[in-house]
Amino acid sequence: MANVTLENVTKNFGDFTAVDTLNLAVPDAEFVALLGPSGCGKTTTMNMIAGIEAPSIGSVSFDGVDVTQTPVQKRGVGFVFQNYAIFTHMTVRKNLSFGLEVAGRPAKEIHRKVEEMAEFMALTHRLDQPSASLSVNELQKLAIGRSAIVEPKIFLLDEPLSNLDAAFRERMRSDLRQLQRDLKQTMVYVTHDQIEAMSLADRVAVMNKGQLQQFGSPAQVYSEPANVFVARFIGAPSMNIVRASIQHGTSGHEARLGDLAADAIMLDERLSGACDRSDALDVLFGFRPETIEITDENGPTTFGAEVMLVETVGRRKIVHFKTGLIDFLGVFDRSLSIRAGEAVKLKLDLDKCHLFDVKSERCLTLDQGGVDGQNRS
Amino acid sequence: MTNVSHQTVEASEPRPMDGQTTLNEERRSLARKLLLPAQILLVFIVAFPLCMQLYIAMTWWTPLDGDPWYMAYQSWIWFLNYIDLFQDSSLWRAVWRTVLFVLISVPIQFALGLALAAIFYEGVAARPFFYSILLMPMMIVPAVTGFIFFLMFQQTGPVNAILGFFMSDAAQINWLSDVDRAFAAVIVADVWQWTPLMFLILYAGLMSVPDDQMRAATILGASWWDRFRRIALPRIKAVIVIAIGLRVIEAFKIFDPIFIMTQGGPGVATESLSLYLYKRTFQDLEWSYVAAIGITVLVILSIITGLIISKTSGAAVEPATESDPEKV
Repeated sequence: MANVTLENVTKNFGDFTAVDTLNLAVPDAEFVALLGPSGCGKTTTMNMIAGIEAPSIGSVSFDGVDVTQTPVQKRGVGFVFQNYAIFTHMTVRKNLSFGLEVAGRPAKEIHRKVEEMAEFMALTHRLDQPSASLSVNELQKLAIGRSAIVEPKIFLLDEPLSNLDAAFRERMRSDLRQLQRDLKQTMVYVTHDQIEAMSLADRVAVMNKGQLQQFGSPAQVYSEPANVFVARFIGAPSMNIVRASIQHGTSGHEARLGDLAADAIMLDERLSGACDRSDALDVLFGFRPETIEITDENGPTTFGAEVMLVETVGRRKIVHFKTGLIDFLGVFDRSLSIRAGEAVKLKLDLDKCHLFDVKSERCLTLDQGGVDGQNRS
Repeated sequence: MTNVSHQTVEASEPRPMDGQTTLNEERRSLARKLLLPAQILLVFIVAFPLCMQLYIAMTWWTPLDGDPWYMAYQSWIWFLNYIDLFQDSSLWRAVWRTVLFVLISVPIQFALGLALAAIFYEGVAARPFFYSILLMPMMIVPAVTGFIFFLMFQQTGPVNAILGFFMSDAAQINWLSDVDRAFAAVIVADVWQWTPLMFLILYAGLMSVPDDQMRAATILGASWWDRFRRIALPRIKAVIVIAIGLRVIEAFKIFDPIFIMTQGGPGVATESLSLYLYKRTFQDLEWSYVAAIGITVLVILSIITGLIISKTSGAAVEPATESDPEKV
């Protein structure tokens, strides 16, 4: 167990910057997910934590000790590969004992620890079978057990669930979460699947183009996205982000979604304050599809829209709206009766709306606390 | 109604089956016809010489008789040639020399080839350059190899010249006319020529070892030697068996370099089985006896090959299950 600190870590491959000035502090015994689209630098980041790759600039430390120059063998990390990289030419027992054997531990100790770990991972009945005969969830357990037996300081998992089909993945996910709790290990988990990250992790580090976008709890990155990228990346369907012009009305600020929309939305104190701070006349207005309500009454936050398309997905209805020139989505319960072509009145929950700067795309409605003190240039 | 529908079902079901079988029949007979020329050719290439050999081996026929080979039955002797063969001490000495040659030469080639493969696997500078240089000996005609080493091992040749830097009397060493040294020289030539093949096969094997397993082992704290011994070697077991098997069979038939370098001499010190057969064929013209030896060698080599293949297929089961975790 250890906390991991990355300080100003940059990794260049030739002209390409895979990771750019990354600062990240993974607290002890936490499950942290590195989340981002392919090529965002999350795997490179993990490789640098493991020591498979050396940062071009910056330092990696475990528990305050700089390990940037420590070779991978001596760094004390457990690494679970995407396909588990089980030594299929060995028995389960040999797989588990591998780390201890190469460390030259006494046979008695190896035997005891292997038995204990097999017990813990519920693999005892499989110990002397060839590891190629294991099922996938047993392989995952073996991969974790094989790393855990050498008592690594931290655990790194490289998309361990991406090879599985959807139904099985859910079960493995809960297994993995349980294992992390039982082992009380610091785990860093790389994934491009936001559902995995949101359901497994204590904290999520969202990355894009080599830069950390936001580091916070799943709830935080969902409800307080630091910028447009995070807002769009997290949530399915993702947050509606539309252009809005701000007008200073008689009783406060008004936002007009799209240029031609008929109805303006009265902004509350929080959103007005954000507008004042930025001085902008144009902003990006963000609201989650789940926070729209259909209403009959007129109110300060209602506006008219036309229903373009209705999709029913499981328990939900996903409705495509159009107002003025902008399109956006709403998510409702499937019991809602609504048809394409209908004109409806929609109400926004302003507490859950966010404003983003048009140029920098940063969230205007968040104080720096929401970004978790990350220094982002 | 039920009856009718029942009938239609019955009638419609076998029909496509019938159609298929006739089609298959047709296809098969066509295939047989198309294969016939190739099979006839094979009969002449493989079966005919084999039968001829079997036939001649049971006679005392020699071209000196002036009779054509099919008249060989005139000197029919049943299995006397085979009985002679088991009492022929010069034959068995040649066999023993060949076995000794294989037992020394192939392990050296394996050790060198494996070491080179390991070095290349870890990565060397200018790999493509050294790669092509290393493979060159393999592409040289064995007779030319023999000639190269015939020149090298001359008393005034480069080997003695180089040794001269270290020992004062190196120029006196006579390689090819000393019983032990000639044998060593032949082994050197064979090792030089065939280590590249060993290297090539083993290197290809090492390249197939999954990268992430090696990395997983590294992260678990395994040293280079641990990884090599515990992951790479067990994984290329099948490849090792094939490489050694191939070289054992080939080395057993060594002829060209020896023929050029020593002609089997001095005396019979480097006379391999092939060379012995050659001498009995062209110096003594005992063709029927040589045919008997040839068949015996064929049987023995077949048994050895069979053993190697059965062992290989046992070892090959394992890489086959390898892809399982990815598949599920």
